[in-house]
Amino acid sequence: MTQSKLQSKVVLTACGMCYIGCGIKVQVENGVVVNIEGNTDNPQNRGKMCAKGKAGFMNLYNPNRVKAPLKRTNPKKGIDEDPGWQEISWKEAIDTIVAQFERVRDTPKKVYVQSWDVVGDNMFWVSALGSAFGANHVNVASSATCGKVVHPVEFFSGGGFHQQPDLHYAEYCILIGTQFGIASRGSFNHHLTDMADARARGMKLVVIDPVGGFAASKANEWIPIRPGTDAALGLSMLHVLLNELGIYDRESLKKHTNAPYLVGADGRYLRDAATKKPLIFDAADGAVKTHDDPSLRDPAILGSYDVQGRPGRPSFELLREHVAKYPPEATEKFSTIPAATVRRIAREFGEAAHIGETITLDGIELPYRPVCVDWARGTQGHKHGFHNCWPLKLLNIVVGSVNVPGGILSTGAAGKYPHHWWPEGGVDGMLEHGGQLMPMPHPSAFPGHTPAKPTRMDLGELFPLAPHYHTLMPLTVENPAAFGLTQQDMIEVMLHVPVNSLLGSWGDIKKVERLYQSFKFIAGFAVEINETTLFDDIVLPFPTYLERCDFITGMGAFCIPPCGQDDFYWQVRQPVVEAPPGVRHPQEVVQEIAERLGILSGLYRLLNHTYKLEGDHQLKPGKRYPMAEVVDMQARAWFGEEKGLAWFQKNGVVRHPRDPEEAYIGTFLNARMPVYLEHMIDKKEQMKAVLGELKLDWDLSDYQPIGDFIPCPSYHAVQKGDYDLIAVNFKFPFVYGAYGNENPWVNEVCEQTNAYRILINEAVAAAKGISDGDSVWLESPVKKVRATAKVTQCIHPQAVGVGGHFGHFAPGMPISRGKGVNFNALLPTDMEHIDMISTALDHCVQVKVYK
Amino acid sequence: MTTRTTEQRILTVKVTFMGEMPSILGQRGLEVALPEGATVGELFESLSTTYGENFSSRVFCRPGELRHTMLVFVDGEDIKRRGGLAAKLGDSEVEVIMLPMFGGG
Repeated sequence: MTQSKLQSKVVLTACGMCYIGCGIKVQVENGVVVNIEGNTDNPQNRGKMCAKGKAGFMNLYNPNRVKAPLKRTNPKKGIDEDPGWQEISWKEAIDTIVAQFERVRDTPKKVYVQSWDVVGDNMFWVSALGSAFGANHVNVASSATCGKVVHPVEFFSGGGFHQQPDLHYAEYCILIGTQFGIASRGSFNHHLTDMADARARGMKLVVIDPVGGFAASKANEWIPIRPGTDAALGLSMLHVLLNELGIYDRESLKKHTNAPYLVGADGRYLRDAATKKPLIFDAADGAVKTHDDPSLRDPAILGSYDVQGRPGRPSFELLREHVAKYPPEATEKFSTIPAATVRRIAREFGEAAHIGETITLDGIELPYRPVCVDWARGTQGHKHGFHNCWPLKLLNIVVGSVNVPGGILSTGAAGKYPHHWWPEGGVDGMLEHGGQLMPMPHPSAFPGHTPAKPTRMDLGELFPLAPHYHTLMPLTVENPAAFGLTQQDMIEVMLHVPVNSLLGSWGDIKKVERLYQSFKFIAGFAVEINETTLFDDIVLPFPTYLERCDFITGMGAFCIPPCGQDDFYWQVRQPVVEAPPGVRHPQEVVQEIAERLGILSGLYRLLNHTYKLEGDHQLKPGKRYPMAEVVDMQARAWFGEEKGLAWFQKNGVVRHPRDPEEAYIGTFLNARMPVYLEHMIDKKEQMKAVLGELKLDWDLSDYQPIGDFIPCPSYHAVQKGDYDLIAVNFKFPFVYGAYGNENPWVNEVCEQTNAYRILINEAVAAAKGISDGDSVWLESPVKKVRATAKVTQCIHPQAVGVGGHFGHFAPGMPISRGKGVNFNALLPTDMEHIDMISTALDHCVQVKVYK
Repeated sequence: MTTRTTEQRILTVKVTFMGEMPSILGQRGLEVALPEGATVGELFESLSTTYGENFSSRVFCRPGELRHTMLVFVDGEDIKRRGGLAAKLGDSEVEVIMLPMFGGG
């Protein structure tokens, strides 16, 4: 033991047990981490910690950690194959990786970079390596099962990355398929107290979910819903509000949405002949004007008009007409929510919106709309995921509660410090350019790209409104020709960060196995040998978050921070203890690979752009940097010369107050939100043309300006009688994603709370003769697994709840191996289960449960 | 290199592709000759002619406007600071980059 370790110290840094990155104080005694506390100065978590964060340092001492580069000696890859790991030098590892990249240098589309390391800088460094190399299959903090719909929707309807109820002022909050503020989501530890305060203040919380989980336990009301029927509920609520009650925010719709845009018989906007701009009827003077005419005073959102011989109706009128097809009585049989309940919830929501009222914050008068509908993964992972979610966003838009006090806020959308970033309008005056602190291209389903014949293995060209497409890979690898691809289009080389994508980012495990077997070479960073690592050819040891240096400490600071007038903050991650000998900073490894490939200057070009590094703070070609120097440079570039790494090491966090204009951008945006998705018409026609050339007969019925409710395949399977239940996944606050599964303390929490069991409704279990704790078979169309039953009243009688991301089988994870169920493995993976707009994989699956 | 004709000076613009562009075009770069006074927009017109629909459909979101995934540098400076597609070229080094979209699936 060296002299320097014989001391006690507390290190200010950032948690890395999930993507959020809470501020923490780590206590080190004689070189050993003995405790982690929350940092009370950090607005992200205000001193609060979750169970997995408290347990985080146990990962540091995992006896099965990877501490040296490894290569496989068994060329045969498979779920049951022993890779035959052999320790090798860093030189051999990097030589091998560089040689594989060199092999495909002339066809860089054969490279797949999976950069779902949302804990720190590697989400940008590893992806920048792929982009500098010229690869097009590059995932930047994107997973096949995460925000497939919410981000593409939020950027065109709110301006930021995600949505977040404004718990500071909300009076009525509906959570659908999410446990926001209670058991999951960004700024989780922050929102726990905001949610508790809001409930104590009298905010009504309604949770609509197949699972009566953590969120439901805190709610005023839990309404069980059949999986995959959220659009049925949303469209019915819209009908009640717009057609039965007449509750909607007329002024907001006129000023801030395309509700008044006149639509012709062909479904497209009526446009000015000269400027091609959409037209609006001004009820103030009876004239038809362009949407940006400064003389517009009273845009009509109801009625029908004649525009130089062309009939036109405001798009809002079409929305009202469309949702009239969905009275609660018509959707009750799908959602199982009684019509009277839908009407009551819609009325309560509408009345609580306080339409017309204002609130004054810091001397600025703003609309006061203290209601919101929040939704996330539970609603988007469906065959018709996009349109299963969109009506829920519309509920917020029609009552004017987007980006105003008490409503639904867009996360990370705008700010004035340390840079200025802001969402902006674009085509047709609509919100097009999302706001992001980090200037990476944001995912958005508007306006989208032009579909074309595919050359990408993930068929990206055929999904013009989706941000990522990797859910398609397990399909195309089976039969490239069926999609107009050739073997030349197939990926051969994969580089990944320590994400366990094989288990958590795809579906049908047999197809995923074949996909990974098809990659000729895989190199991956790893903390432990998980299921994905089993397929690697080269394994590179990865430092834990307590050994790393990062400028970005997770998604919590820059794209999912606490909203409203909570302070902007920034922190950095500094090593608490030294990494084991042989473990290198991955960013430094990336630099070495880039230099060897002759793309170091390209890597730096991309990183300088992403991190907004200019002048003396830029990464300069011809030099490789230790990470401490990079983080110091980045911190000084953003916060001034006096606030380099040393300042953060001592002080922990920069805070900066946000004014109402930054916090509540709705009133200040010079762009309109949609209630009508006109661009869907063009995209559908473009898609038809391309698919026709490819002789592909895809169902494009989801490409419509106002969506319909269409049941998932699981609904039909149950109706047919082949299966009687629908399995859904839900989250635990102590095992967010797969983070911490191999942590002994987290495992103990899971065992003590029966988290590894599957939830079965009490009445259903009784009918099947299943008792609590029984061992049962859980069988989907693609997988049959053994599970332990947890019999409960807290699940919809037609649903089976499978929590967390369990079901590990890798020998390198002896603590979590064989416990719980891997939900994703149950999911059929074919075109019938892919959302044709978002590429989301359907996450509700028909199952049988029996002893 | 700059050459002169009797009537017009010709610019030599060195184009480097990064991000998704090399995968799409099968090429990492090329040199383009353009008349003096040419803009980035005219360079992109030339590239659209060279590579056809494969280039233009992916690079532009609508006529005259680059998709938000595009990043273009002229002699190391982002064209957003030089007037966008109207930015003037010299014997420039131009980096044409298509970035992947960020975040969340």
